[in-house]
Amino acid sequence: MKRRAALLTFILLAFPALNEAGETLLTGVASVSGARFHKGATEEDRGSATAILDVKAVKPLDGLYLTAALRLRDSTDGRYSWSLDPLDDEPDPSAIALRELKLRASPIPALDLEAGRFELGWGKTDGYSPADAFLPRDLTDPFSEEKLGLWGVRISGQRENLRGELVASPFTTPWRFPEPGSRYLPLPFPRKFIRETVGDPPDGGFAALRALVNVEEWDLGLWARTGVLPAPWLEFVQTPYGFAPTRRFTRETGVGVEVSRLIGTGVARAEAALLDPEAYAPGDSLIVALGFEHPLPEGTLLFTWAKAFTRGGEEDAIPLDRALLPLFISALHHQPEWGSVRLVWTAGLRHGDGVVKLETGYDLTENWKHTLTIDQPYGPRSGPLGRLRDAARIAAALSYSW
Amino acid sequence: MLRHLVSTLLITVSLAVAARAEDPRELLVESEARHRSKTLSYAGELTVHSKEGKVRTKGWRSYREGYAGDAKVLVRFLSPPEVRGVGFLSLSRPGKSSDQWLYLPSMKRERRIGAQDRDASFVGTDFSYEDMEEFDHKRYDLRLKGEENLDGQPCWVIEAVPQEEGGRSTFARRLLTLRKDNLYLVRQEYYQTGETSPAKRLTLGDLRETHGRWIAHRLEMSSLKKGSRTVVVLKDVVFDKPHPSERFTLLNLTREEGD
Repeated sequence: MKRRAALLTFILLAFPALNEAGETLLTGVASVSGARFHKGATEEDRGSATAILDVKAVKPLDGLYLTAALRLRDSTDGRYSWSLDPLDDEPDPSAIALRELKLRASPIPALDLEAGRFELGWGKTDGYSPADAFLPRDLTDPFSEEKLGLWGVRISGQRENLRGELVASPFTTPWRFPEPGSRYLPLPFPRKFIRETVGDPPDGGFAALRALVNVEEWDLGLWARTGVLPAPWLEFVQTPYGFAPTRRFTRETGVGVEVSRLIGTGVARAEAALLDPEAYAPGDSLIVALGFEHPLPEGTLLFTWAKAFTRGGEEDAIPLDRALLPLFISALHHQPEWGSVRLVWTAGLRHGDGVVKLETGYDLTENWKHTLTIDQPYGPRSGPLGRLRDAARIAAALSYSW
Repeated sequence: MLRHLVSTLLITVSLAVAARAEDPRELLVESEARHRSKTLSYAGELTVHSKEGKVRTKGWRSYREGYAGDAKVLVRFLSPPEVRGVGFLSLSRPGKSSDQWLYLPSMKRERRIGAQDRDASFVGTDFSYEDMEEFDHKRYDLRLKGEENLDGQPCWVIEAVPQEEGGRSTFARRLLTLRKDNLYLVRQEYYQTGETSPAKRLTLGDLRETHGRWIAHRLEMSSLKKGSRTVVVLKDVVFDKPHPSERFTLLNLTREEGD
């Protein structure tokens, strides 16, 4: 408790101190939320409360930009650990997360150099993008996928309508998953018999290269990457006590294309990726994603279909970056003047399961916002989404941003 | 004979006076020549007043290079917090719809947006995406409707009808009101097909001479049917200062910390 208080005090003083320097731009969001879960078979509490504080500082320094973003959070479900985890590679998310800490320089106007910790967004299709799937994620809450930053360097440049990007990271930031046996990762045997093993990722990180060009209605991209895949695959190893889930990691090489084109009033998007893991178990894959965005008077309607074609591999191995495929996602975003409405339907096409998410946000003022969210999985429990039925929930949040 | 001579003279003078009636195309060309700048940048504060009286404010920085068919526009939102860092880039292509992209800090990537839906509201305001583009009179048939006194200023009123039927403009016609003294556009009214009263009205006020050019520092777009209005107040207006060469690029669009 004392360490928590000391850390919080230090952080809460540090960011205003940056602002005192005069030019630092300080922004943030503070939110509290409460969730109520469906009464299911698990022994967990039916309710939880969470508090999150996001603070971001951007400071120009003679042509450079220093950006720091910190997240503080805690929850009554004990999900967060109060340990410092600067590499973000512990299985449990830390209550203190350094989301960004980077320096950007532009030695010439058409070239950016970034170093430190930053988040990336690649790809074109919405909801699922094979170009984006190699980036680290926190899925401890499967209904609120959180992207994680990575430590590395990034070089971006543009000449005429051609852009290039090179990213290299010496560390692996593994994907995070819920505790096996919990409502967010239910398994078909009692929780007390589950002993999960998390293998260590291979040494080193990854490198990736991306080239983009826009020609009239077309946006085209090519990418290639090699290194440790942060998403593990899951194996179930039999023990005297039952089946123990084991996360294993491998290196993987992948290449891909991404395309978008204006069609009528909408935008069509497509991606394809060839993935070749070093380990045999996950199998070689061709992943295809197709999407379409149609504008509405005060919003958009999005569709995405994605499928993986796998060759070889072991049937019992579940590569977690493509475990939901094939899937179909449709999303309606509506932004009336009072706030926002988001309705997302994720349908697993293999098992006939899925999740329906409804989120409404009401802008109380320019800074205060109230959000209500319903996550309702459905379908057979044999499916990765249907098995989340005990985690169906309704959540309300109040946030303040500055 | 004298009567005949006087009649001839009167007719000749009348014809000469009629011939001096202004040509609307020439008026707009002259207006462009006086007020068109090679570049423009400003900080804007935008306030949306809904029919129910609710008020929302947004802040942005806007940069423009070129004009009409060769214009490049970059808008970066500064406030409120939930849209801070959002960027909009529009690159005009002669004779075609503009290429437009939106950068969302939450996704850390830019996305192409369909420029064809030009009557859609721009970020929840009474301005549409079409309104964000420069008015290109060459794409319109023009007719001088007459004269009007607006806020004590004598003005020309010009009717503009899009040349392409069912084409790029979402309105059937516009009425442009230009001040006679400085040929500055002070009002624009937008009419839908078959309507005799305007659906939207743009008024430009608080005219000030800045760096040798006149510019309205207050723009108000009223959606007359919806009952809402959006007011934009311009600050830190700078004309004709060359933009950095990479300002209007996708690389720059993704620089959420600053251009």
